[in-house]
Amino acid sequence: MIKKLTCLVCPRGCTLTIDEALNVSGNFCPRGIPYALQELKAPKRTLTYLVKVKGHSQPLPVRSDAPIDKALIFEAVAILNTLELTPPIDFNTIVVENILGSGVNIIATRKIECNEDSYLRKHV
Amino acid sequence: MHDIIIIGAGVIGGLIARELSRFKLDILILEKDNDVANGTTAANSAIVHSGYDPKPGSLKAKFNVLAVPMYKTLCEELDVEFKRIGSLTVAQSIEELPMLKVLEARAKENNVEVKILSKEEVRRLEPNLNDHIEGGLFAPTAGIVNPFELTAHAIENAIENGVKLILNAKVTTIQKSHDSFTVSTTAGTFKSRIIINAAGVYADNIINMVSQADFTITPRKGSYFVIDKLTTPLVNTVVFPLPNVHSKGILVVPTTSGNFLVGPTSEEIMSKEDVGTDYGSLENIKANALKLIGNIPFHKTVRTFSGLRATPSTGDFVIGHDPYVKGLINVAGIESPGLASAPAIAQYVVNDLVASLLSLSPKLDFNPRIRPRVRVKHLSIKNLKALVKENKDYATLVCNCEEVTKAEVIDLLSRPIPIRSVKAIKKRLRAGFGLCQGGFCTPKVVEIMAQYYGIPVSDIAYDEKESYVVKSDETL
Amino acid sequence: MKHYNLIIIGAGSAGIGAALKAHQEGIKSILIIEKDRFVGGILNQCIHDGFGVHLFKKTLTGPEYAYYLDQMLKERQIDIILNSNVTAINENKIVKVFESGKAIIELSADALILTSGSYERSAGAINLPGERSAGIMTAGQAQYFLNMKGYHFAKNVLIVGSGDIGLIMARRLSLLGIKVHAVSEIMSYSSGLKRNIVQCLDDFNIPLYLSHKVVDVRGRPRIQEVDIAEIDAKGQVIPGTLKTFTVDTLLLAVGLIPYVSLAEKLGIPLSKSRGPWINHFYQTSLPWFFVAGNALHIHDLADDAYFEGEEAGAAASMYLKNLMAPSLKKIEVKPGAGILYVLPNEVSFPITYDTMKFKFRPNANFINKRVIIKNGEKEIYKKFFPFLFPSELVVLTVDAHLVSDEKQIMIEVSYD
Repeated sequence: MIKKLTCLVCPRGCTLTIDEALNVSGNFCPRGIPYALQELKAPKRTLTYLVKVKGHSQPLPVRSDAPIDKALIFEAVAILNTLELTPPIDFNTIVVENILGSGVNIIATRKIECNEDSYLRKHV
Repeated sequence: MHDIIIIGAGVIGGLIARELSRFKLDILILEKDNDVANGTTAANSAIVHSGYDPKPGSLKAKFNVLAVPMYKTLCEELDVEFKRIGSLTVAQSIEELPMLKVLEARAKENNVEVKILSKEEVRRLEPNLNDHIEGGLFAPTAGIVNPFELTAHAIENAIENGVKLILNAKVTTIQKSHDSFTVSTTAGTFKSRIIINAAGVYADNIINMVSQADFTITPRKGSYFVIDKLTTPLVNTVVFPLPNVHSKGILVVPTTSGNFLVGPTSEEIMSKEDVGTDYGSLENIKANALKLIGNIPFHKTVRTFSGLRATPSTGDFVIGHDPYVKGLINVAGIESPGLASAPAIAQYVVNDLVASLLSLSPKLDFNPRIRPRVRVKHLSIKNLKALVKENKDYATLVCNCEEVTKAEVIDLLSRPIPIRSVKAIKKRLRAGFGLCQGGFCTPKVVEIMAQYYGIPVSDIAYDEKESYVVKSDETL
Repeated sequence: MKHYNLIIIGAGSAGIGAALKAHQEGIKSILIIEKDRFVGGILNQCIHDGFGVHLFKKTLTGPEYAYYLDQMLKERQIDIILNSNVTAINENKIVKVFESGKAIIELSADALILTSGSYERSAGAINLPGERSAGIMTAGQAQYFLNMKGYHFAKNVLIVGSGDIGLIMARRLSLLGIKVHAVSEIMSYSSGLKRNIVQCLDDFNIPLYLSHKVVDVRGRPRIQEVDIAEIDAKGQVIPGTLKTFTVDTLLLAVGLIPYVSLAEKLGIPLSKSRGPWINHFYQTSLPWFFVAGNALHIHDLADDAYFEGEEAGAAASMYLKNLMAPSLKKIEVKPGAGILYVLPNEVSFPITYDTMKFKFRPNANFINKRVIIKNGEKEIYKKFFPFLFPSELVVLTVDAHLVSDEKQIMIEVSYD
């Protein structure tokens, strides 16, 4: 089946066409070819998400410390939805190690102190 | 059983309530919406017309002219923003100049002071007017007022003087028995000896619940642009084109908060609830307004809105005892110059109409003044610092665009009229009415309200009941 | 009254760039005034990644970027007050500040840099038609409520505007299991980064309707239906293209505008970028008042705002050290064919620097075009671009010696 996708290597954003024989066309430069093949075979995405924190209204923003297989994203999200973390949480601590056996960790992208919400209440 | 039920907490119902609260009477205001001043009162040009324009001999002329001098004292007692800036009706061609003379003659008949200005005088007064403006009629007694404050403060004053207010009380049926009315609403059933019908676009519907309306109210929509505050004023007075048969035309008006309104259109519609806007009407406003002032900065529009005028089929205000049902007093068809006429209408309703039905015995402890609002925006640093010493919330800014503090929000929440929505705060304090339209302040306002009432933020409404700002969904 | 050499308003990317640079240039009496309880500005609610590719050589999420900016400030011990709003600056360089829950103070400065960021264009400003239903808000505000407060308030969403904020929110909501029905864009092209079109829309099969506008909104108290329709080149609705969506939330991502009321109140004129009119020193009409970042013009990359902040910080430092020669002459810089806006708006002489940066956005998509800078009739710079998009800011560095003070400068896209 012929697939079309947008190359993201540079802002030009060429529309790439890949045929059944995995020939890539439409690329302005050679970098489009490995990009297209990777996107087709094993597309990866960085996951950024929010996790509940006990006693805090503000959720903790987290990220995958490397891109994960696109196919695993919704399953990973389902796992993160079940979590409720306890403060304090240090910057870049591992929140979920080796998520779904991908070798990728989910880490905190903020530091959370203990008493944030009461601090927040004082300042509107 | 109450002495009087007032249906409608717009500017008419509000000022009537305040007048009535001077006397030893049991008064109840029923308002169908989630706040006072939510219908026509919330969406008009906010002009206190001079009164030269209405047909001489009409109720519109009578009450407008009577009310104009009342505004100064009224607004001072009720701490309402009011500016007597004058109005200018312009002739856009030599052919239109004779019309100014016609208006001048009408003004004379109505006993209103006006002056015809030459082309040069007009340009000096309003330098932004287009070159083809040939002259104008200046009416120095016209002004602009803050209709939200006028209504809310009048009702607050009325409540402090003993009047009761119930919100979200939409009247569903009215029954008259021998000498009393039973009024059923969505918030309960109430009885009174007299009903004052100040129900705006619904005034005829109210009459038809218990009597027979000899006229109809047609909702007539007017849409507006609100232009941001500007470093040099767009206009200094209320600028009108010549009036036509249907309306006063597309105006350019300053507001008491420093914005500029451009509009309104005039379109008869079917629905009494339709306050939406549409591109066609807005384009129409632009085209006509640019004829007056070519450099209106429409790119500085902060918002657009529509209001519905309660246009009576009689062509004039309908103010009087209902011809068929004793005890029902109708104050209907209050379209322009309704706001301008309101103080005089209220006095007439109370001192003539109600007085002929009940004996009015003045309260000795009637207090005509409300506790003035602290307006941080207008205070000197010295006064601000003194306030902060007593209350640190005066140093917590909630709205950047309009310079409103947390203390002012909390003060508002503590006043007699229940504040149940973000819009109610916006109308009175202007937080959310500025350039960013609530972008910065809405999150803060909802937090303050939630904290004050001890309810979750997700239960805070934006406007009417259940119009939640953020409704959390536990299923997610 | 406390006095500082330099006051910086806003501790976002640009403000911190300015502060760090000024500090490096030897200005020690610096105060940053920040309205939020944290440093980093809007970055704190931008939990997605893609930030810092140039500045930190990594791809970071917004909160991580903000964290590193904060660390840099702390390392140099630069004074900063949080939870503090500036409401006015007067001609005597006195700044009025509301320190939340504490005090109202006045501070004086010798120079000031406005890095107060931007605000979102509202429903009112785009004349959004229809009912005033609940459930309509700007994408950034929805992002704030969701990411900073954890409020979930949508099940079915339509997004108006294909700017990056709208695209990012499309992905954010989709990951939460919320149905984003479509993105409607009034222009014939998207103003967002291609990367976001792919990773926020294509990945989730969210259709993008270009050349479409909202024609009606229905539902009280909360929105229930939205109608969009295709428009022709003149902006007129094309009959038969109406699409109705049943939604409970309408998010608007229809543009960011520099938030510069503080400058306007001082009578400082603005330019086509919607920020203050500046010379190449990022100086406004008041020589002590500088501006940078989103408060000057909207940036696509936080790194660019940071670098611009540095440039303004460097210029302000020169001004404070009296190294800025008085302006003898100035020439205007005008956007020509194909250019939406260009900065600076004027060049002051003497230029002082060896090179001059011109920053511009094209007003349409261009392929294989040349951009030419003319000084009067003379071409002083020419560059070939395989592509130019309105969504990507371009910075050109020109040899300052090539710029003469005789005539105006014009930058244009050449059609040959």
